[in-house]
Amino acid sequence: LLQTSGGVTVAGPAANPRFFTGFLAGAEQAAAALLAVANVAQARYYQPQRVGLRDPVVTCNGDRLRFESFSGCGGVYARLDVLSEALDGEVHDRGTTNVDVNGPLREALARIGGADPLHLAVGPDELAVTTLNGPLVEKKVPLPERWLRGFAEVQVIAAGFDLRAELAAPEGRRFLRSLPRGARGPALWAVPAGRWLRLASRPMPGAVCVPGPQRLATLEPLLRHARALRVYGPVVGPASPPSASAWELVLDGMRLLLTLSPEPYRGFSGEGAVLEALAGDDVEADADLVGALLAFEPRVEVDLLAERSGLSTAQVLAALGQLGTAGRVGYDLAEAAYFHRELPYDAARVEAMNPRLANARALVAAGAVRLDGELATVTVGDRSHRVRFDGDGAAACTCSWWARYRGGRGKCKHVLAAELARAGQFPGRDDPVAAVPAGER
Amino acid sequence: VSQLDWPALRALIDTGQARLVAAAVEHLDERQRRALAAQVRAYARPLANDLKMDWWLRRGRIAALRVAGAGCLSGADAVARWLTRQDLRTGDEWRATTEMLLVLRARQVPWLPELTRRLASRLPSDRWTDPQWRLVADLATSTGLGDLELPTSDGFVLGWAQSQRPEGRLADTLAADPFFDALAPHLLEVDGIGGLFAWSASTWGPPEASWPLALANLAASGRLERSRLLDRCLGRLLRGGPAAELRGFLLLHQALDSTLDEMAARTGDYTRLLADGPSQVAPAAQRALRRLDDAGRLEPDRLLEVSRAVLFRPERQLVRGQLSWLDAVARRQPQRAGLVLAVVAVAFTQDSAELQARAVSLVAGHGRHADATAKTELLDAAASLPADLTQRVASALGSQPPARRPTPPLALPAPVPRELPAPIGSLAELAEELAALLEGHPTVEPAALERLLAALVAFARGDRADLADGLDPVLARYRVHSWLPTDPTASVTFLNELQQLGWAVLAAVAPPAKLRLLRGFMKAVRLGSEGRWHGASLVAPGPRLALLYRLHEIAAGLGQRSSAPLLVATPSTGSGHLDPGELVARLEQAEAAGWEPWERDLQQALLRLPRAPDPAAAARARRLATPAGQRLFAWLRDGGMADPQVTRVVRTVRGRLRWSADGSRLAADEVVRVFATVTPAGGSAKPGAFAASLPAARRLPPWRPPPQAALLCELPRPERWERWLLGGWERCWPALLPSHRDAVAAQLLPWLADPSAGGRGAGQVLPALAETDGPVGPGLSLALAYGLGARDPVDRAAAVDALLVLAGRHQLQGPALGVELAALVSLGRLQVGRVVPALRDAARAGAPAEVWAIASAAIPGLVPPAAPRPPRGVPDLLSLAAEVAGVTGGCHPIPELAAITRRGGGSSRLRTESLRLQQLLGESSARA
Repeated sequence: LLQTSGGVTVAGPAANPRFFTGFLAGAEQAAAALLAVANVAQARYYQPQRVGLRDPVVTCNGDRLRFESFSGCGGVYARLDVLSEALDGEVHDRGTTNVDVNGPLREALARIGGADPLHLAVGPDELAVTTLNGPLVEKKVPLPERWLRGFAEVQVIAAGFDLRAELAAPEGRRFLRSLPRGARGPALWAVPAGRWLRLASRPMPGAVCVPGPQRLATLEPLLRHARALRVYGPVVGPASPPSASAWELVLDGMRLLLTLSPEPYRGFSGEGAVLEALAGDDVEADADLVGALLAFEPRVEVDLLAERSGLSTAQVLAALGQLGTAGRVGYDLAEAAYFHRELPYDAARVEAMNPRLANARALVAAGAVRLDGELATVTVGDRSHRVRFDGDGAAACTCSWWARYRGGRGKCKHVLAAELARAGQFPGRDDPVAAVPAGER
Repeated sequence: VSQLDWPALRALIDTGQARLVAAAVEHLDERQRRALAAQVRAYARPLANDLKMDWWLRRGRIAALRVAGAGCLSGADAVARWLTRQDLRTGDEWRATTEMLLVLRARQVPWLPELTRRLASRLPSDRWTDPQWRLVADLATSTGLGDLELPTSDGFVLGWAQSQRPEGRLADTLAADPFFDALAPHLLEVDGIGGLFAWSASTWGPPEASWPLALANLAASGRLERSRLLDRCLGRLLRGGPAAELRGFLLLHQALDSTLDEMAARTGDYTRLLADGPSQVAPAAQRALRRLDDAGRLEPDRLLEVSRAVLFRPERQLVRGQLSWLDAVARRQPQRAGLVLAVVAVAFTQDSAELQARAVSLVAGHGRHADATAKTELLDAAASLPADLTQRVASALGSQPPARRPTPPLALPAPVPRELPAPIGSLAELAEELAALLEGHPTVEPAALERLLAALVAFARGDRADLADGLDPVLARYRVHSWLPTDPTASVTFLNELQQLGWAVLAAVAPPAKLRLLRGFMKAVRLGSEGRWHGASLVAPGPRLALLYRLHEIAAGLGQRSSAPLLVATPSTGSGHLDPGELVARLEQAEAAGWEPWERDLQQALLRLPRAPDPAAAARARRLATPAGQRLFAWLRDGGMADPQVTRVVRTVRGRLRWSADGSRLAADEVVRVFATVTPAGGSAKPGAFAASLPAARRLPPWRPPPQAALLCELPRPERWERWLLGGWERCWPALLPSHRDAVAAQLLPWLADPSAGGRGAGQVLPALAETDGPVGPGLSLALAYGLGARDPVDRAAAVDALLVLAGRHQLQGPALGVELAALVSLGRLQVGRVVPALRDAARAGAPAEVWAIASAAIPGLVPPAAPRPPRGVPDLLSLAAEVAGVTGGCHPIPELAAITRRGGGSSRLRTESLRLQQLLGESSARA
């Protein structure tokens, strides 16, 4: 039923691989949930216009299937986790691919009701799994680059979330239906109040941001199947800026998660949450080691990995963060654990995919950074920006990016450049290699 | 064979006449064409990039060049790429289609069919360019492609459909179209075709040009297969899509007017559409299924299955329709009533009290037919209903009501005082904060502003060259230096907070020449001379004026090169208050260092003192010898400023100018405005006193603007309430008068009340107002009422926040707020439908008793006899009152309710809800 278009398996890249054949329990809700993931891939919440069809990514982690997609504007990340209780069939292999949800398939899914079965074959039967030789990661899946960057960003952001509220189905439904549908205006906040969530106009401890609430409308068709609504978000205080948040519908044997970017116009691909991991620590070797040990686990056990790799738990976590910047692990909020997926990702393209980092390296290479104690002056063209480090290593800048987001959307290139330059000046503190432009290594 | 070399061809292209190029290229042989190809290709880039060329000439040359390329390049792929090059798009690049076709056909090459296919696959499917489609169609015709070989790409099919320009009936035109048989099967697969259907069937077109009707006619005459058409139509409705697209398919569905047999064959599709289909499609599916059921052709199980889904849907109309359908079924076939009732339980989970009540009456009507399973299911579901409805369900079923899960009452969240960030510590930090404020305008937070001002003044006491150096990157980026006219005689045409802040920064860092210029402008502002000053800026609401004059004083003070004092009015709490001890310490410091605070700054500092007396601080202030110190002492001794008098006003004013109904003249309609005026305590000043005194200022040079306290009471005349007068910095207002919040609230009212005058956003000031101090009078009550009924959801949420803060501080005047709500609803200034959900949110967040106080005070004003025709939504307010009365208990009866049931006026729902509430209150007061 679902057509695959090439992907990566445990054994290596394969054309049209087959991971799973069998039935999904709760066909009606499964079909609706698959449609929701496909709808997100087709939607554009900021400056709406018709977008071409995009194909959700599917990962088979052995005991579960995960369908993931981003909206056309990059501001919504959807993931459907089909857990083992809902899978009735045969798992052939573990791996990642993408599925083509076209018009006829959408109709077929929309036709599935009550007692109809939903047979899922990730990959058509008549195609043999052929294993190709060559490098592990090959550009087989025509994924947009924004998606690759989005996968990397969203797991870093989600790893900082905690469960803020769990609502029973009726309360969750009432809350989601009470959300305003308009697209304008500042962000709203959801504050837990007993078994309810209340909409508030300003952040307070325990609140979760509801940025662009119209983006949660995708959940509407699934509300009658929902068992509960879970809401995740970062720690907020009374002066917090709008932040990302995650909304999870608990279904029978499935979970549908929508993660919203802090504002509708902000796509996850530009959030800059990975920059720190990319620019900073020297964990690449550890990341290679840990990456080699991953085998599409549904739940990456950090202790187990530490034992197998001989690294400390902290080192493994840092390595997982690094792997996340390549989209090679995702973060499952319900399990509070990483999971493994494999995306067509080229380590050498990290620079190109993170222009801020590349620009920062170029600034350092051009000698545009002048260090002066806790201050640094970064000159770009005829403008100069002051970067200030406070005692505990946090930095701030006078550029307009910093002025607008106050560090909430990743560091600006000036701060990155100043940090690289400082690391070069004080080799003991940080990675000295990182201060050298990538091309000269 | 003619000869043509590149210079000659280029000369022809440069004439911009595709006709000449076509004539020259037409007769070349393939060898000659190949020889020219490279140069033709190379000419594209310079032409595409030459944007300075005459617009018409460039378009002509590009069109001619495209014809030359069509004649010279070899191979289907090369030509297809050439013709769809992005950089050669000019908007009418397809105008030379005739020439292109001529040139291509003259070549007699075997790859023309392939070229046709490639061009067809590149036709855009989202926008429509007729000549481009025309070229592909002509190529297809002239190469003699058979029906099976015709391109069927989305762009080609859509282009074909859009190119139909029927003279008479569209159906006849289509039937005669050579492409019809090949393309019609693909017609309903294309994205965007629904939009075309809807557009063609819109009211301004003749009915015979409507696609849905034409297709239905063709199906009737047998030219199209009717069953397939119907299947595809339903398929597209199932697939979903944009609203316009779906509307087209709905119209087609309507035009096809399916028979019972056809519907019966597609029951599955209709079921899915009704259960999960888009909002606009589901009603059609509901009608179809109901027709089937009325004819006895819908399986009972199917009805129950789809009802389970429909009763969950958010569309009230659908749920209402389904309930009445189920009611009819239960009436018609009592033996099925048991199964039907089990399904009705789903509707108990609906949020709307009206739907709950309908579901309960359905159960009450047929309860005697319920079997054991249905009973259990109904009783389980009824547990989530309000207590009296649960009781009704139970008695209809002849059983005991289920035990209710006791929900522990939720405590009101205790208000947490907001903390202030530490003062700015370094020049670099000051630069960052200034950048953030300039970037983040207009949502300026008061704490950020005061922190910035304090640091600016403090750093200006140090080395001003360092300050200039530190701020320079930011000032340069936002071009703050250019905020000052270079001509000293120029008039200042606008005045706003940001500009005054910019002037303050400039005054601190500007070189001497610039400073002289700045002083000249500042003098003009201080004198309020209208010649160099936009007088209208000075009819702003009081808090805005006070803020402007405070910023202005800082700018003027920094402009004096003598050592400037520090600011003494910087707040010491998040609500904007200044601790008296802190102020005494600041004045002690001033006395020791020998400086006097600026006048307006000192006034602002006094206005920021808390209401509670502080004898210790007063004793310390007594020892101060400076005039400022003595004024502080007197202020503390006398207990501060008396509360300004806030008076509720109802006035009919001229509204906006509108064209009269016959369009003959412009006339202003009359609007009833409810607002409040502010008068300084003991003063008799009328509103707008300051604005009225401005003309005098022009004649009297020593005129001085009134002190802060008087300015803060200013309210412009109702005719001047324009959106822009608010200025966007209203979040800073509460901190200007933190001990007299009612006055500040009164000045926000015009903008809270009238969305067209910029009501959006003003509501977000309410939580901060609730956190400040002072009596809650008509100003704040009206502000909360307007906020709870605001059009903007964020404003409504902010009003709920403010209500909870006030409730948490035990300062909410519930009855007064309720009375205001009723008054504003009766005057048509608010809608009950917006207020009720906001109040329900507040009740659920822990304020049910407060919400009861509000609702019970509002109800008498909204029902007879006060309101002979109760406004829309009042039954919802009654059901909310019942909800909170059930939670709080001990609520007093409302006598007006008895009148409703006796008189029998109003809608039946109003009667039901009032009866319900009466019974509840009767029980409640009996218990108490």
